[in-house]
Parts: sequence; C-alpha cells; structure tokens
Amino acid sequence: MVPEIGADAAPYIIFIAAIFTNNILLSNFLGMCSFLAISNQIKASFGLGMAVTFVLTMTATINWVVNAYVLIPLKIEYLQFIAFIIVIAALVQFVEIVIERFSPALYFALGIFLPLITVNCAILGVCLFMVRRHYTFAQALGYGVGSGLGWMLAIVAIAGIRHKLRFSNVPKPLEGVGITMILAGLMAFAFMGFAGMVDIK
Amino acid sequence: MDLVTLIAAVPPEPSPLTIGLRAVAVLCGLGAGLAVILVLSDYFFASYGECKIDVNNGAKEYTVQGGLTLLNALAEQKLFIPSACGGQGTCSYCKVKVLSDIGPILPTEMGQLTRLERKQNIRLSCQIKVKGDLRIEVPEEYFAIQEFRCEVLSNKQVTDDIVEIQFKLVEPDRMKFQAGKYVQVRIPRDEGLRRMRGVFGKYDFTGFNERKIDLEKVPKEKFINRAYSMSNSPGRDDIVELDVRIAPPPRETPDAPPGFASSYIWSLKEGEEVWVTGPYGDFFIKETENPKIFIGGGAGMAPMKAMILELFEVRKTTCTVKFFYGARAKKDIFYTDIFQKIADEHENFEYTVALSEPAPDDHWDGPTEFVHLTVEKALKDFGYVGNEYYLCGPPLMVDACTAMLAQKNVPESDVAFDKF
Repeated sequence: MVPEIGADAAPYIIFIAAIFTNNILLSNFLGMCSFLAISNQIKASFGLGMAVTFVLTMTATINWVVNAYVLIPLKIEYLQFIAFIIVIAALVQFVEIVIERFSPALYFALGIFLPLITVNCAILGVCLFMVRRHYTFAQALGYGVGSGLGWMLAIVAIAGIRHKLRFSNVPKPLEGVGITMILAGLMAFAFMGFAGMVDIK
Repeated sequence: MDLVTLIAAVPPEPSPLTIGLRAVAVLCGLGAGLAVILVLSDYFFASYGECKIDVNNGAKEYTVQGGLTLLNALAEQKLFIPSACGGQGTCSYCKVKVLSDIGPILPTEMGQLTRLERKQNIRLSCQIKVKGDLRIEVPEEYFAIQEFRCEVLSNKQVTDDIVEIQFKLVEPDRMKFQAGKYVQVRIPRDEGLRRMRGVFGKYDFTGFNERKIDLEKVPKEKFINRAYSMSNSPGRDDIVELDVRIAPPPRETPDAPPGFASSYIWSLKEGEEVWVTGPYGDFFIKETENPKIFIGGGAGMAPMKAMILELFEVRKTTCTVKFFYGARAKKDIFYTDIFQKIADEHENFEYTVALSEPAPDDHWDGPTEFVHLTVEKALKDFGYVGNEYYLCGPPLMVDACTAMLAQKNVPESDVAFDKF
C-alpha cells in the first residue's frame, strides 16, 4: 500500500517525493529544452542543475507569497501565469546581479545558464503545481528545493549516460537528440521504480 | 421591491470592471515594484566604486568607475585598445594581458584565445569587466593611440567603386604614424543606418528594402568603429586619407543591404565632422636596405601608397623598390600619376600593373593575369629570396602571393601582409 500524500503531507516527504517519485523532468517532462541541449556535458549539466535548484527555491517561495497574499485576496487568481512569469524573470535578474557581486566564483560556475533559466518551463511548472495542490508555505519550499534537486539529478544522470554513449555505435538516424529522447524515456521508466515510496497528487 | 432588498440582492462578487481594474493595478504594481528592486539592486550591487587600473607596471595608472568592460573603461581614460568589431568579441584585436586574478576565461572569450594565450592570462578586454583594482599589460604603442576630431576635407571618387576621402585633423591637429597603420572611423549607428540609402557611384541603393537589414546583427552601441588603412604619407601628418571601397550587396542576394560603414563614408560631404582613433596596427616597413617588393590589389592600395611615399618622400630611400598592383580592368587603376612621377624621378622604383580581365577597349598591352603570376615572372632574374615583401589586398590575392612566395623559399619573416 503506497502511502498517499494529501495536502497535509510533511514538507520533507514532499521534498523526497519531488526528487524521486514525482521528478519534474522525468514524470512531468518539464524543462526538456535545456535538458536536451545541455545534457552532453556533465560539468555544464551540474552547473545548470545548481542554477535551477537555486532559482526554483526562490521562485516557489516568493510566488507562494504573491499568490497567497495578493492574488487570492483580490480574487484575481487567473493572473497566476503572468504574475508568476514576471516574478521569475525579475528574480533571475536579481539573483544574477547579487551573485555576480558577492560570489564571482559561483557566478562563473553558473555562467550563461542563470539567465537561460528564465525560460525554463520547469520553473513555471513547479509554481503552478504548488498552487494547484494547495501547498502551505513550508510544503512549497520543500517542493521547490526537491524539484530543483530532482531536475539536477536527472540531467546529471543523463549527461553521464550520454558521456558513456560517445563510444557506442548509435544508429545514424538516432544520433544526438534522438537517442537522448529514448534515454529520457528509459530513465523515466527507471524512476517509476521509486513510485512505491510515496505519491503526491 | 424596495431599496433594501435591491441592495441585498447585489451579489457579493465584485463586478468584472473591478476585477479588471484590480488586475491592471496588480500587474502594474508587481511590474513596477520588481523594476524598482532591480534598478536599486543594480545601483547598489553592480556599482564597484572606483577601481584603479595599473598599466604596464606603473607606466600609467587610471582611476575608473567599476562595472564597465575593460575596453570601455580604458577608452574613457583615452587609452584606446584596438577593436574592429566594437566590443562584440569577434575580431580578437582587443587582447590584453591581465596580471590580476579576475576569474576564469568566459565562454565568449574561448573561441578567440589560443591555448598559449589562455596560459599567459591574455584576455579579451571587451568581454571582461572591471570589478576591482587591476594590473594589466598592453603593448607600448597603444599609448600613442589618440582620438581625433576631424573635418572632411575632400571626398572624391577615384574608380568605379573606390573613393579617396581626406579628413583634416582638428583636435589634436597632428598624428605621428608609420606608413601601413590604420585608423578606426567612428560611425553613429542610427545615422549610419539612415545613410545606407543613396546613390554611390554607379550603385543605386535608393531602392533597397530597409526591412532586409537585420537589426539584431547591427551592434547595439551608439557608435560603431570600422578600421581603414591610411593612404597618406607620414610626411602629411595633418590629414588622414583613406581609400574606401563601396560594398554593394553580394551578387547572389541583390536586395540585401549595402555595406554599413562604406556607404556612410561615401556619403560624407566636405566640412562634416568625423571622429577617428589611431594609429593602430603592426604592418610597417622594416628599417633595412633590402629590396622591397610591394604587392597590392583593390583598396589594398591605401597602405601601399603610404609606404612608398614614406620610402621616397620621408626616408629618401636608396634601396630597390618594386610595386605590383593587381586590378580587373583599366577603370580600376588609380593613383597612376603619383607612381609614374616617382618612377620618373627615381631609378630604384618600378611600377607594374597587372589586369586580370581588361575590357576590350582598354587596349591593354601590359600583363594580363593575376598579379602573383606577374610578380613570379618579374622576379625570375632578380631573385626571390633576400627581398622583403609587403602585401595588402583581398584575402584571395594575399593567399595566392604568400603561397607563391613560400614555394620560392622566401622565409615567412620577410613577408608582411594585411588582409581585409
């Protein structure tokens, strides 16, 4: 019997579920574009994963506040998409400015990936799921961090596999993106093995 | 129905108008609030205060406002690093050696730096930002590069597609330079785009479709710099003279926009104000008595003319000088009178023109071939090794000449060239 997690789940359970059973990349297939583009280098994948985790944590919490204290009281929830996107875009800019100033090392590590995250659909996806599932603030935080780490886990794992694949004879028509799509599918199957742990709706 | 029940019947839901107004207010508020936060954070976090830049171990020291790119910060202090692409990171002219630690090589620099240069801390000054005190090294001659306010003295067409334009230096009014150097002409972006439309010699660009200009590809800076070799003799240090070839759209895409900088320069009228920086470049005549062979083609005439004038007017040279110029047809030859005069007055100068496809009514009895073949034949008895070669012209011509010279065992160090 799989424990089913409702809206009252503990934040740490949501955190673990977001990494394994409900991996944003492999179960919702969000954030695929940068996933396919970057996953040929392990180092870059790790950098992008770090950046996504960072921004997801920040946007999930801030958008939760915006939703709970601005959109819902004013009964304009239908603006969630546009409001969330504005917040994400501004936040990414802000984070970039701050990191560049205070941690040049991290800034160089994240490099070009930071601004790219603005258009990563996994970020908006997490914000929307969080609202639809009526998470509390702590749950949203757990979900944000977990989704980011899950995304990083998936992309680094795929990058590792693609690295190994360099020495394999991939059929000509499947080279590049083709084989990566198949890999992503197989990875998704593999991650379904975690499904017995917890399940969040 | 009395008034009380009517009011009670009004649903508690806000009207669509209120919701709409709220939506507008929230979005505006959210946008404005975030914009203010971004502007403030940019102001507080991205300001690096004043930074000191030490150049060449104390030779010069500048105090600049942090946050700019090194190239722009130095340009504000009137130290001009060569940069033909205007800070886009594509021309790789703006390399400087950075002695302070400023972090790893940026992805935008990667393609432009060789492995050796990366090891030596050579960086692209247009990509790195000044965020603290820096120590850098630049070639000594960069200190001589100045910014000049000029006035157009004359602009005359010398062939179908080349103009000779002269700028009078106003402030400062003298430029000391060696022949072969180039200057960068500063072109205001918007004015330059406007001036693409016009009639330039036999080319009529009045009808071209402006929407074909890919504005994304035009640099966003207010000013765009383009490099042109000077054609005046170093003896005339009060002017800058350039030979500028118009760049019509390529034959296969006749409705593409014409050259940005060349149409601007063609459109300049007498008396207009122009800004140039210079002199730049490492193309110049060696101080030796070896025979000097000049090979030029097209607008590659400019540095050739400057160098030959320097040799005969300034240095009063006694060594053998031969000048070979390659053109398509007779109408593409210019400055003949100047070289004819030098040839008449000096026994040690020889001027040869080779035409690759003379027109039927040219009545051409000179060499009819590509210029590198003419050079090969002309030097058969004179000898190839032991001469210095100075080449300037289209890449194909320069490549053909260097290949021919390499075949004749001329050492690479004796061949200097400027491709464009």
